[in-house]
Amino acid sequence: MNALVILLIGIVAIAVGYFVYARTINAKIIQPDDKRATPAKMFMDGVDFTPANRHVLFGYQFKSIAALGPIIGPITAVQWGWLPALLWIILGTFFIGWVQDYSSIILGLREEGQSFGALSYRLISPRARTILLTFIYFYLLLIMGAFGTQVGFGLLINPAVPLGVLLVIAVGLLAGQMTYKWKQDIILTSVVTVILAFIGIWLGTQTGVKNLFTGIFSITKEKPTGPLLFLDVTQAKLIGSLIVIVICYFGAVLPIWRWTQPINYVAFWIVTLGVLGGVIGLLIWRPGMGDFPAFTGFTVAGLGPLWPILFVTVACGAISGWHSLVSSSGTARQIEKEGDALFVGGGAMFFEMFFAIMAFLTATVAFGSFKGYKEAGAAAAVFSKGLSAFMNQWGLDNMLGKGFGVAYGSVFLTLMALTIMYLVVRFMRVASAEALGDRVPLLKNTHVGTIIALIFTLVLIWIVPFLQIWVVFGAANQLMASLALLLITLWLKSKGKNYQWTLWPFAFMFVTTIFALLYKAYEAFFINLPKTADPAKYKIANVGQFTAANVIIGIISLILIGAALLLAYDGLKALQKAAAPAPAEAKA
Amino acid sequence: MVNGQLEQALQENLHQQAREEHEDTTGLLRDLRVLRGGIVRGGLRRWKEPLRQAVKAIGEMLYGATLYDMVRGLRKERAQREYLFILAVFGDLLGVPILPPYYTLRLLPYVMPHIQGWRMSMLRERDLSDLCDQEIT
Repeated sequence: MNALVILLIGIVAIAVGYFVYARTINAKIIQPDDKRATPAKMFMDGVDFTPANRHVLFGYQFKSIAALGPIIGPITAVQWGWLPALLWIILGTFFIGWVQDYSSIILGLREEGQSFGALSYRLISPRARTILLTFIYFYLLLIMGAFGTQVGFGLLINPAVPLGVLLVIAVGLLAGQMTYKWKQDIILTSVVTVILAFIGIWLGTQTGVKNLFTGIFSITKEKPTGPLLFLDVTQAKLIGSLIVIVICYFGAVLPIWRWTQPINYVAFWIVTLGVLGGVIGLLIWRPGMGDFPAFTGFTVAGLGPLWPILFVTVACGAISGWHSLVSSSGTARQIEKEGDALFVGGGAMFFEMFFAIMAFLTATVAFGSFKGYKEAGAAAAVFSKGLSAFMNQWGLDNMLGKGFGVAYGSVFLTLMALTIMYLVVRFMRVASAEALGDRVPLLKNTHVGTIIALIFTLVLIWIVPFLQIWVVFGAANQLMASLALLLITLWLKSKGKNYQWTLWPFAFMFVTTIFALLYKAYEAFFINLPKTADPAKYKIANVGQFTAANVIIGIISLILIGAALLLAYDGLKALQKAAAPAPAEAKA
Repeated sequence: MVNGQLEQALQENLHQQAREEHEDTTGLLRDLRVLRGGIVRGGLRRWKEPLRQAVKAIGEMLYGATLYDMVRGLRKERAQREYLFILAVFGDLLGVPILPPYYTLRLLPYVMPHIQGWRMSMLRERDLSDLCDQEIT
């Protein structure tokens, strides 16, 4: 199967999904009224509620929802074969992903910009809000673990990468200084900082710099990530994970305009140019999949059975609960006209599907064979090497030196991960201060709250293997999405509107994610833990770490299952109670 | 006689057809000349407006993905300064009398446009799910 055929299938799916299915639902069920005042126009406080143009909001929504999820998920999922992964990316987005994003915005628009917490309190039950917030906290902790592992244990241990990342961060700080303090023109700032960022990444690939980091990591041929220090943490992994923690610390405590925003700004250009370069290379090369199998088997070692695990592995590439939070608490408060909701919410999700297909192609076509994909390493390494292979079709490595493409791809991914990680740590700091600050006043201190959140992150990164974190993260994410769909279903029913288009996606996602978490808990307690009785037979290097990892994953899975079942129970009671109003009131 | 008239009518008909075809061709040639000569003016003019709108849309999307967040951050910073000022001036609206009424009345014309937004922002119920977008500062 040629890459262009896959791209074409993706484009056709987007066109049919958006112009046929999405527009039909929009016109026949939601029936947006551009004359009705949106919360942005109703309240217009100039801060939270400010109307914005639909194209601006599209860019904002896409930037808010696109992270490592649509990249790592599809690359991991192709281990079941390219066909099931591709089918879920396309069909998941077609029937569920855009539905969730779009209807979250509509819910916010029609309910005066209320957040999901407030709506779940009102529409489901008072304890629904507490349960939702518990979900959010665990979900964000798992993001930190998953992204932190990929970056600290995967990307930064390549000696060609750390300096590039650090210099791009420095250039980001320069961008902030030029914009806010020196009041320079934004075009000049962008050009200067992007050029400097490229120079920084290039410098990181120079022999002297690589040798320096090879020495710092104590890398040898026998020990490609340095000597083992403790648990599964080698010298390179320790330094990589600590670099991530320090960067996140500064991102969480410094004012947002000083660190997070300007670095995100420069990172956006690195990512955009990388995607453009990759697409151009792909169109020039037009590679096929080689012997990459369409289907490898129902069960994949280290991951589990195709159902339910594939569906939670792809994560944001098909559907993600995070999108509903961003849509309802951010985008919905800035929509100018109701008719813009489809373009912003649905359009951004379909565009993310295209992004996921690009990541899928880096795994399936860039290496020419399934063996090449397996040997490329972890998902982040697969993406970096795949993107580099695309960009080299128009001569990137010839222009900027061998290895620049891989370093560029690694910096691309690291920045995408870090942009989310700063915000997550900020959230965890504020959430712990709000929830426990009265009982433990120390948590109200910015530094203490941040350090506690980062300690939890380090524990996850050092103890739990990536694939275990990723699957539970995906399950938590999709569970939140299913709960968002439940909320939307209740709202639709209360307004007397057709709710089948959200009810069945909710049912599918809820059952799938509950079973995925049940599987992970069962695997942790009944398959993995008994292996510690004979560690030599099962090649368990560190029994303590293995036990701790499985206990953590098992407990988190059970907590999430319990919370989800309680919420579903309350939700179903609310669904039975909700009665359609009289037809005159139905168009609310 | 009749055959001659018929033949003449047929000839006239044929001539008429030829004239019409000639005119059509001439008209077509005229259009083609206009098109060839005016391909920049005529052909592209049809696409100029949609192209301009597409470029504008892409520019707005890039703005939304890059600078818009910074602009929102600046709006928020400004709002926090303004709210602090309004609190100092009109704290008694929230039961916190700070300035004597004389001063608050002097400042009223300058603060009036912002009071409604301030009250709504102060009194709006927030919960942790709001943090997912914009409260994380």
